[in-house]
Amino acid sequence: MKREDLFDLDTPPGHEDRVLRRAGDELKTARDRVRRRGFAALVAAFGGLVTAGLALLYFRRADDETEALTVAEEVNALDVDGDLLADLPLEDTGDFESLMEDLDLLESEDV
Amino acid sequence: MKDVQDDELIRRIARGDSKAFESLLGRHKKSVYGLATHLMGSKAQGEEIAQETWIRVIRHAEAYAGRGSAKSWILTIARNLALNELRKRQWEEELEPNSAEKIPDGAVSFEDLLSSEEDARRVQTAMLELPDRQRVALVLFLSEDKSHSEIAVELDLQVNAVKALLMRARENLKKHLTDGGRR
Repeated sequence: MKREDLFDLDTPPGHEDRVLRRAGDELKTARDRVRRRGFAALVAAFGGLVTAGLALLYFRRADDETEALTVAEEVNALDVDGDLLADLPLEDTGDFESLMEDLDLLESEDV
Repeated sequence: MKDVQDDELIRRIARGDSKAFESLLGRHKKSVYGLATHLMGSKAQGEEIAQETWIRVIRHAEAYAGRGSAKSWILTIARNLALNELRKRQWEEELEPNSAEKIPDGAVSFEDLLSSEEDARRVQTAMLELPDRQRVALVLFLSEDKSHSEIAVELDLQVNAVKALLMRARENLKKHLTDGGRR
C-alpha cells in the first residue's frame, strides 16, 4: 500500500448518489452564474456599440459645425464691403467655393 | 472524461458541468471520505464532512488557481472542514503539560508499523479507535508529512504536546498490531 493511499477508504453504499443529489443545486447555480455573466457581457458589448455610434454621430456633427464656422471666418477675413455680400444669391451662402467665385466676379465688375 | 486532467475538470465544474463533477468525484471520493473519516474518527461524521467537501469544491472551483495538485486542494478542503468541526468538540483526552520534553525530533517514526501491506491495513483500521487528539495528530503527520511544529499550530498545542500525542499513538498502534488487532 502506498503511503498516500493509507487513508483511502471504500465509501459507504449510496455515498456517491447522496453527493450528486446535493451537488445538483450547486451545479445549477454555477450554470446560472455563467449564463448571467454571458448575458451581462452581451449587454455591455451592445451598450459599447451604441455608445460608439453616438460618439461617431456627435463628432461628425461637430466637424460639420467647425467647417461651417471656418467658412464664416474666411468670409469675414476677406474684409469685403457688406453690400457686396448682400448682393450674393442666398442659396450660395453655404458653399464656400461658389461664394469665392461670386465675390471675385462682383469685385471684377466693380473695378 | 478519462483523459481529462483534474485541473480541466475543475474548470468545467466552475461552469456547472455535471459530467466533469461526476468524473472528479469518482477519482477522489475514496481519498476524501477516508481522510475525513480518519480525522473525525467516525464513518458517519466522515461522510458528512466528505459530502460538504464536494459541495465546497463546486462553490470554490472558480477560485481554484491550479497551483499544486487538484487532489491536494480537495483534501485540504476536507481537512479544514474536519478540523473546524473538531475544534468545536471537547477533546476527549487531557494533555499532560511538558510531557514530551525528552523526546528528540525525529524519534517518532511509523515506518516499521507500515512496512507490510497487511500491517498498513490494520493501522488504517486501528487509527479510527485512537483518542481524538492522537488520531488527528497522527493523520496530519502521516497524510501530509507535516512537521511537529506545523501540527502544533494546526491544533493550537505546544510542540512537545504534539510529540507526546504521536508517541502515545504509536504505542497504541503497536499494541494493536502485536495483539493481532484484538483490542
